[in-house]
Amino acid sequence: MHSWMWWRRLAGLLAVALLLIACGGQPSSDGGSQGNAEDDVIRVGVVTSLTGPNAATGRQVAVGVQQAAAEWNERGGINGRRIEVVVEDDAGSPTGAVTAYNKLISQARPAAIWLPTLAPLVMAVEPAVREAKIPTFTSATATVITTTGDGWFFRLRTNDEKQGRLVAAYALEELKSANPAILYPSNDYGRGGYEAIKTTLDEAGVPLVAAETFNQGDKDVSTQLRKIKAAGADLLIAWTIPTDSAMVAVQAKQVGLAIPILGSPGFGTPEYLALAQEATDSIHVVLDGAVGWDEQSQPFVERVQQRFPDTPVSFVVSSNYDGAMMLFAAMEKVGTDPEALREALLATQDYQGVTGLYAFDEAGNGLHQGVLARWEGQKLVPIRTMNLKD
Amino acid sequence: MDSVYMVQTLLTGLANGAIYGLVALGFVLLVNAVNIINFAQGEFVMLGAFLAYTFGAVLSLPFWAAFLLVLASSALIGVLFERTAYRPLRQADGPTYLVATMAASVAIRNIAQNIWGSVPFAYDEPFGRRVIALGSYILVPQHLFILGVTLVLVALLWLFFFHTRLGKLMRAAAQDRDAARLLGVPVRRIGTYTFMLAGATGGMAGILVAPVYFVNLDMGFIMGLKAFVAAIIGGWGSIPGALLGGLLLGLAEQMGTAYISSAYKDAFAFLVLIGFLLFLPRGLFGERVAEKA
Repeated sequence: MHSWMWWRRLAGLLAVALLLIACGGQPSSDGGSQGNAEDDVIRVGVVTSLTGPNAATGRQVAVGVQQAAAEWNERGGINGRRIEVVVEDDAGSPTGAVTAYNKLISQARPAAIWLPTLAPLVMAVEPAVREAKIPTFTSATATVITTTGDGWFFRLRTNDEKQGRLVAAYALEELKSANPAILYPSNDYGRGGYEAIKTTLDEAGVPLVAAETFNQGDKDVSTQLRKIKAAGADLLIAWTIPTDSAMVAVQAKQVGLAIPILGSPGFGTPEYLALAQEATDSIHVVLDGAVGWDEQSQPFVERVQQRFPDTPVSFVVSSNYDGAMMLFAAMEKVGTDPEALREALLATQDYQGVTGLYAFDEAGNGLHQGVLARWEGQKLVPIRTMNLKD
Repeated sequence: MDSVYMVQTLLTGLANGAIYGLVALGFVLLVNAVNIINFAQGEFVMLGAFLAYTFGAVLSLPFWAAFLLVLASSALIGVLFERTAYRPLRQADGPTYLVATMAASVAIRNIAQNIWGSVPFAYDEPFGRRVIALGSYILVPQHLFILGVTLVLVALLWLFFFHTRLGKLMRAAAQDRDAARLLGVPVRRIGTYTFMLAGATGGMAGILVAPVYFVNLDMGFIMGLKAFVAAIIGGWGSIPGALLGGLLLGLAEQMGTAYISSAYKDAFAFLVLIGFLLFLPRGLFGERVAEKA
């Protein structure tokens, strides 16, 4: 006979197991059958954060691809074959990304796959990308990504190296800064941006008067901001993700740092606005694309919101949408053979997407532009678009 | 750099330190009363912040009402936690409890994500984002508020544990559960009270910290980690030690950032921790280990 305690523990364990099953996501697909490679279905995989710290942005990746697939399916699919999008959650961790990737590759057997928008997660999957040998899209911006993966990576946003050069160019040309300072997180993302910005500024003979860092996840940068103030900076370049961007804007106000801020794309996101609220004065942003803020992207925003009412539509949605549209167009032309698809994608030049003008270089970088915009109250106003296609 | 800069840095250090201390109090409380390390304490803080946002911003209740509601619901969460993650394991050893609280912290985060989603929120009550300018010094009212509340809480908890009957019973139950029960201490009921208190302390930290940190799912983990360090520096189980440990940690981080380099902010925190572990392993207000052994 087992004791009462034993049963109770078993019950507890079962409850925990049930909870885990309930929480651990099932692969969500666009519906339809889960059978093996039928001829009338083309599968596309998406590994992205549906849970975890980056879920807000992660969902936008899936929405971009799903929107493109839905529109294409409404027009009758690709040469009569329906597109099915299979999404798998990476839970925001590199190990989660690897698990999700392997599961997708082995079970759904997609013709092409999307990776998360965070570089550490993409790099964790990179060895498997070389194995799988199928077109692999990402909206992560770390420059290193497209130098790896045996040429299977296609990047849908401007990489950090170019984005950094654009930020530096705007700091000098548009904001006429003579004593710029920079604040960035001490991780690969932060250092990548810092190197590119610093190099461009040094070349122009306008060196940084202060360069401060913080750990991503820190909630206080006021000491760093005071150091920047003490250094006599006339412009703060902030290279930060959305949540940290709001923190920088709010605390800059609190420490009385009365100089303009030139921010990374993080400053131009809905998450930033929700957190920073009124702390938007004299803040400039360099974005991949002005989607959601300019006139010509409005029809796209409305289309997406009809289908996904809860998703904020930004360049994250649009760049992944653009990537999917280019992929489907290539599939229509050359079918789903990976090698043929790769060539067709690399041959895609001057494709006018929602985000901007796409042209893949040999490394697989598709977008090369940066839009300078300025907050006016609660509205982000695009000022100028610069294209660095070299 | 000038003296204004230094004083301002000290103030920032104290403000951050008070937050670490406030969260550390939750750890210390459970060490004193049931002698377990609760890795979900940070998640109580996170829940408190989300509840503050729900009551204060979504339902637009005034700050005092939100505050009381957060305290009450956090106490309830504490009880729930006791019933699910502590009581069923009653006879287990330390590591089992540790793993149970870790599991609970993962579960709490997932539940919170299902309720509130993964997008961070802003909650600014009761002071908004105003700052007080005194000459060339800038004070953030919320920081002063946190420091004040933490001091009061330290005093109250100390009085409670050392000068009330219930507090003494709790400490007795923590030192030797069986002996306490033999002497007629109602250890079960006392366990429930303790977790109510731990939940409420965490919830209070949540509503106070919400305006400084944004309300997000990760805040609990980060604060839990720093608070854990603060509790060790302060002396494991010491109530005033938790606050002092927190303040010391906050100051070390900010002074290091200001005068050495911001790249090594966390390194300073851990240097302080390693220093204490090497040279003063019992912390500032060392637990009287011999008595508890």
